[in-house]
Amino acid sequence: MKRKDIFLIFMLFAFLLCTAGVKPARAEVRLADDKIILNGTIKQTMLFRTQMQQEEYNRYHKTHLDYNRFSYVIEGLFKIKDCPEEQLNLFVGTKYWYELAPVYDPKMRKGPNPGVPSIQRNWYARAKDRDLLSEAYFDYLRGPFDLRIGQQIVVWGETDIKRTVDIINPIDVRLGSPGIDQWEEIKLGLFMLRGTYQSQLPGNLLFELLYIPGDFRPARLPVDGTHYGANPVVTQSVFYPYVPYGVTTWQFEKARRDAPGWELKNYEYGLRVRGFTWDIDWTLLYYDGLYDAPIATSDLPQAFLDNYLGVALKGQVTQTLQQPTFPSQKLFVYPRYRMIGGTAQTVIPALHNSVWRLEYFYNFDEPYNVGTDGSNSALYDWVRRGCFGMGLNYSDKFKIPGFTHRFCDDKMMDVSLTFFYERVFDWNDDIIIAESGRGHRGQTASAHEIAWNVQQFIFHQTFMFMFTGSYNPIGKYFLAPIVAYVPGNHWRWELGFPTYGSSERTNKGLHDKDSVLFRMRYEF
Amino acid sequence: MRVRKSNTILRLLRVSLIVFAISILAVPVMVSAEQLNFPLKAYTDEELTKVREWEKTWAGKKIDKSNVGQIKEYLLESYAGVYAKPEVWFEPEGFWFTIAPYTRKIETKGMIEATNKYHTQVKTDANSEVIQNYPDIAGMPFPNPDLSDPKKGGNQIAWNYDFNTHGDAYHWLRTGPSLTVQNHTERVSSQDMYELYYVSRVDVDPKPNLLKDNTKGIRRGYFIHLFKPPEFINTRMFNLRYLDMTKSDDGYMWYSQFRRIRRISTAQRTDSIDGSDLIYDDEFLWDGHIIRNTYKYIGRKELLCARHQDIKQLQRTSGHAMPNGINRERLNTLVVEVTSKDKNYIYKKRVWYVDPETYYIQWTEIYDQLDRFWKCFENWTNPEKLESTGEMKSVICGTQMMDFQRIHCGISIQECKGVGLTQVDQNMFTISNLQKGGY
Repeated sequence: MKRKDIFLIFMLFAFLLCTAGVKPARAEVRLADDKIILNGTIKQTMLFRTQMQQEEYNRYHKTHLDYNRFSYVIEGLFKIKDCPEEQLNLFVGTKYWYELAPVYDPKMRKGPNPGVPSIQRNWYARAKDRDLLSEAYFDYLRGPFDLRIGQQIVVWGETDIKRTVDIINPIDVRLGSPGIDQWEEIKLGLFMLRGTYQSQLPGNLLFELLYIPGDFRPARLPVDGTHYGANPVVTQSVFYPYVPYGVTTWQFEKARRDAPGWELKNYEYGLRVRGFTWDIDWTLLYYDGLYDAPIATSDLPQAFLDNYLGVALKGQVTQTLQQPTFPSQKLFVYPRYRMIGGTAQTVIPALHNSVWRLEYFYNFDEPYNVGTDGSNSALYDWVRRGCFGMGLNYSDKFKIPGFTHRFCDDKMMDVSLTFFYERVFDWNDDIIIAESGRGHRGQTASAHEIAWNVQQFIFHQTFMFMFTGSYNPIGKYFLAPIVAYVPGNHWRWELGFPTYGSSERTNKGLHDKDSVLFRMRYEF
Repeated sequence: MRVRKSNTILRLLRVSLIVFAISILAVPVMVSAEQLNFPLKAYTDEELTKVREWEKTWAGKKIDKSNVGQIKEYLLESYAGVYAKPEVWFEPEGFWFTIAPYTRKIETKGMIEATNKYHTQVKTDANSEVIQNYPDIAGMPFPNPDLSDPKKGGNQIAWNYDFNTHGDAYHWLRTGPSLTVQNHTERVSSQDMYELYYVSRVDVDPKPNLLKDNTKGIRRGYFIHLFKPPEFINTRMFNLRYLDMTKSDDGYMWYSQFRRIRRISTAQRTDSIDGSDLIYDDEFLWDGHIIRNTYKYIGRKELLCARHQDIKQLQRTSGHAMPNGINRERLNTLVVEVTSKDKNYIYKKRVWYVDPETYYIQWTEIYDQLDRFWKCFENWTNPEKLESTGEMKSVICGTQMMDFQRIHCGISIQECKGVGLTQVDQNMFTISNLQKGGY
């Protein structure tokens, strides 16, 4: 029996076993007289591509199921000392994932030019080393003080899908996507000292200070040929099949190798003040740190010529497979920049008691690459610019006559709508921004986008319908209708259809990755 | 003789005048003492004799589908039907409960003293509907509601309900399965809950106001820490209700999945709560400002009520509609029809069955906008020891919620962790507290 068939039978069996055996049980696990509390999620997520170029399929896939990830997140709270005066806790979060698609699809892993480059396959396909530990920190609470030391994930933002001021932790989008996965699953923990102090000043000011002593982790970008990565080269180009992977892979791999790692000089710090004035909950924040995404130096074009194009040309001439090389010199940097920003949220009774949230930032000296006419392929250097951005979110609940009463047991429909705006100052048409995924049209300083989330529980929350999406006037969109079945305390079944589109040539994103999403979760 | 006669007449007149004068001074006091019949009794002595007679037959008996017909006059029709036809609720083996003898509940000393002290100071508006010195009083504002006037009586019962501060500071652990009885599945919520009254306090010092300077005008703080369902583990929220009856509550939530403190709109109080049959207004069987409704007293109704319910005696099978072993006693309830002033309100009306000794709503029947019977909820109460004084104070220890249109139900079992608490940190109702415990 083929490996694929065995796998499918296993999944079917698991599905039947789970649906047949839905029984209520306790949620979290409590041990040692409630001093240890464990909870977590075990998850299997599959994406079946309904949109794939025939050439890509023929060359790199044996199945349209190009994403099939097993993962879990388990969190534990250990109460070391718990008395009214002071508390000391240890919080540990572990996670693991394993991407099965290259296992059962030989075309994704075999041959001189596999769908997923072998150089990055092990790096992305399963959690290793530090990725296994999402968080681990001690939390000491005494009076108005709270001090946390260790690897942490910090959330500073308020809006959905886009991270406007929520920038402390870098993100890992190798196998996840905002809107489909939770932010917490795709954020990378950083070692930091983080303290809060609740003052008695007017406005109930709450001060928060965090310091990251040089623990730098770059953003993890999707691997070529994987579901969330760029498509593998499908045309018979000059170089293929004489190099094992494409240009993007070489650049991403080099950027990963050039990331600075843990050095004291890479310190980062942030300050946040939270208060309440005129019925508005607000925060003001300041952050000084390194840019999470790689910025290419002016040495990149020559190095690329020497180490990739030259090698590929040699392969073309000799008709043999060649391995691109990686020079020791740094071709990518992660420059320091600063940000000021804030958030505000309030309920406006006059507007149907809706909740409004605002996030805004101004980045000082944000780094951008420049290329002739904003072209990535004509990159020549990088520059610094100021950038302003904001997100305004409106959320409300509605009854739908004849529907919410009849089918939803009077559970109202939750609606959330967010408008994003961003503008780069001192604009230069050479700034490369269209391919950054920030929603800009090529050679345009500003970008706009709206994002929404509609959620409706049906039949006493046994079912849930969610419609998440975003639209950018440049013609780029993301739509994700998802239906979830929640039969009891632990099992969650989800079926969705995330679709993407773009009419902008230089900002395509996942334009041809429409898929059927199937996800089963066990929550405890 | 004539002189002696006239002297006698004069003496008699003098004595009469003195008696008259004393009586003029004494009558209001006597009338007042007679009128302040508090704490109330559910039954007169004569009525109680009859109840005791009935109890000779029924007290201690197990009631199930075989004999529920014999006591159905003391159950609401809908619930009598649940016991008589359990197959409708997918429980062919049936449900049962036991009958206990009626036991009077006497309010705490603090409640009695506050009622005596403040009930004469209650100021209402011209229509006698709204208490205007709401923050300045405590205890039952209307210890002897005027039941001769349906509107006034209903209104006064509602205010008495509102001024029951549940022991001023109450902590309980709620386990609340939402049940789909058709396939006997349930989704359980579990949450630690605190309630702290800032004003109208009667059982815990400082009384009646917690703060010397309540600048924010807080009436009550309410804190919830969720343990289940798993998606909400460690989600925590608090809600502040204000003395200003026109102001919506303030609500904040630390949503653990998003790790964010989110302000939440508390104005949409008719939204159902997470798959249950409750809307936000249904907590305690009414959780909103009294002025949002109109009230009409419609009489008395003898009902079997769970007023001394030890939740450990409940026998519950997972996925089944109702626990067995509920312990109900007869009670002559006050019946009040409650109609929202909001014409578009989700319910056409509620009918409250109020315990006249504690002013808890023991039962409520709910009608939809087309005036069709829809839901029936029952509160179970039980006396618990006040931490502050050691007296017994009746608190809600559980609720049964049944939706008769959809054949769906939920249960809330509330384990008392402390009532009349003397040490409830007010910082619990702050954003800082949400952030501190956020993992």
